[in-house]
Amino acid sequence: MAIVAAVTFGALLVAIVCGLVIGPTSIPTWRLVGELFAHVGIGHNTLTPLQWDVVWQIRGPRMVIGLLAGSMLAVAGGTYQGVFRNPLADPYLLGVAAGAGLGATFAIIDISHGVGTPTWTPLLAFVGAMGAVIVTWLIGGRSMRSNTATLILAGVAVASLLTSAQTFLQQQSSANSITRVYIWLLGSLASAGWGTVWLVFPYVIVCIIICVGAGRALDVMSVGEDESRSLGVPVRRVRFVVIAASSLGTAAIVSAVGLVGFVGIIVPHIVRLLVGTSYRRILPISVIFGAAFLVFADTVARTVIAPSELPLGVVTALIGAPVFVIILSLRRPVAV
Amino acid sequence: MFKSLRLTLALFLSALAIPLIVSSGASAATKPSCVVSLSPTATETLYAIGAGKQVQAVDTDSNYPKTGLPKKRINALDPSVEAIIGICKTTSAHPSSKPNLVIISYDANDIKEKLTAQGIKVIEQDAPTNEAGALFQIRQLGTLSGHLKKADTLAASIKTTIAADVASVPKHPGKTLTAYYELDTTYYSLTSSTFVGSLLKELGVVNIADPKNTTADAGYPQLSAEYIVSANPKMILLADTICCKASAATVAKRPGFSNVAAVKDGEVIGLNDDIASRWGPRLSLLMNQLTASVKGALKNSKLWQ
Repeated sequence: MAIVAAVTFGALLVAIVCGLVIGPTSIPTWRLVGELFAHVGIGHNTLTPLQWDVVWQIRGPRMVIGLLAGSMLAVAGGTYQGVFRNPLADPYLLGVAAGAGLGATFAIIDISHGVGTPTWTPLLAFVGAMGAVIVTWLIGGRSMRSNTATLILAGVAVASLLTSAQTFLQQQSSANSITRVYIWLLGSLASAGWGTVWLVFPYVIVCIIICVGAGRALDVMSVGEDESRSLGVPVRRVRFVVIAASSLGTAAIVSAVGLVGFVGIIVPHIVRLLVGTSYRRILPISVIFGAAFLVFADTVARTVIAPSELPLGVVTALIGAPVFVIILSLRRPVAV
Repeated sequence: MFKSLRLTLALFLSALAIPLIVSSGASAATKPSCVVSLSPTATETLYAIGAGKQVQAVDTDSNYPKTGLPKKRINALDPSVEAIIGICKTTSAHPSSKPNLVIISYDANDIKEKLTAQGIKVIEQDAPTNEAGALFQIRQLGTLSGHLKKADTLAASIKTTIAADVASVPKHPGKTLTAYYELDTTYYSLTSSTFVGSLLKELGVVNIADPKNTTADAGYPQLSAEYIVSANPKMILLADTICCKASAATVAKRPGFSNVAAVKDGEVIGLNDDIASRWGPRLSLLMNQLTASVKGALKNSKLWQ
């Protein structure tokens, strides 16, 4: 565990450096190193004003939002897999993706009609995401007889309804709007600035702390709901708190960067194969691993076909899936 | 004699009438009585050359001219063959519900093949790559709608305006005016191989998207914030002021853009999305705006310090 943690942390540091150093604009490494030292008070600034903007105004916030998004999606995926005891659970299970997609579509079409403003997109995406989860909970989670299967089914129903509404709106709109909705749905860190980082940061940090703190309870709940209750775990309350925290953090991330897929499902599995099945280990390592993974994926996405960028979700799937297959083939899969 | 004189006069007057009968009969035969336009540019052109009364349906994006457009609308992204072949008002002059002529700007749902199979004339007018292509399309619509004379006049007027605008830009040796043309807030741009790009090139503008054009992009590459900031364009033209509420103020707030020359020195120019994306009768207006922007940038001493 200690070795895995150290290696993961090392990978995170490498990802951070890559996120700042690598990009379509060629900046001499010595200038970047000098700038990093100047930032901690050693030496003076070595970048030109434009290079400074590229590093600190474009790559910097993009790298930080990548860290926050990767860690939040990974830990949310891990907690969902623990709460639902389902290896295929991901942060979008209860309708977050469909709700956010509907909200963003509505905002983008509204802006095209000259009514709305661009700041409505993240706001309505957030409202849509949380609204979907709340409706799912009201349908499938409120009753005393409800269980995880009921919640999942409710989530599927809500997601289907919202996705069909989104499809209808897109079909009624212009080609330009459809293109912009599609690009949003693919997920991207490209539009992130420091304002976005500070907006999302408090939600994500609090939600990550809550999720990681629920590791012990999730370990107990892995033996079954009735058994957990008999061991004194308030199952319904834990389920509610964990789902609320995961969904809130995911909604905040989705409103900022769109729908980045694959991170929430694949990272916890990879970590599980490395550290075992205890959520007290899986969740904190997933925070670090998810952050490194997404920043690394974003670096690939924005450099491979520069100046155009690959959709981030495509890169996370292209990188994550083969790695997961390789790990599965090397080790015996471990149950959730 | 008097009788033969009357006969001669009658024959003479009849002979005079023949050209009128022939020409009006030929015009009536070639003027389609039910036209459907699934291209906003074609809609503008048809109305500008006097064919508006023949247009009985347009696409959902057609919004100019502001008055007089038909109420019947078709979604050009997802056109229905059934809706189109039943769209025309049946009259004695046009006894069928099928249109005589349908103009499209891209072939969604294989609509061209399906309508042609129904005996309907379909013309596809994609975005041209230069001024000559745009003028050709105007003349083509004139021929098809029976208004060639007005179409010729319109095309000639646009050609004259463009030539005059290009000539009015002063020579600027030693000044390289670089520009970024924005189509939407995800940094889609256009190169000199597009019709707007070709106009900018005629005005002496160096397009920062040109080095990044690939065959796959077809003249409309997607750039990135980092690339644009590094290219440091002296002029930014925004063709997304309506769809995406882009403006000089919003561009200045984008991460890294505050030090870009165009932003610092006040050369971020907003264009009307519709005018900037259509190659019809308002092409002169677009050229006027582009010329004014270029002249303004060349005169801006802050840019050239």
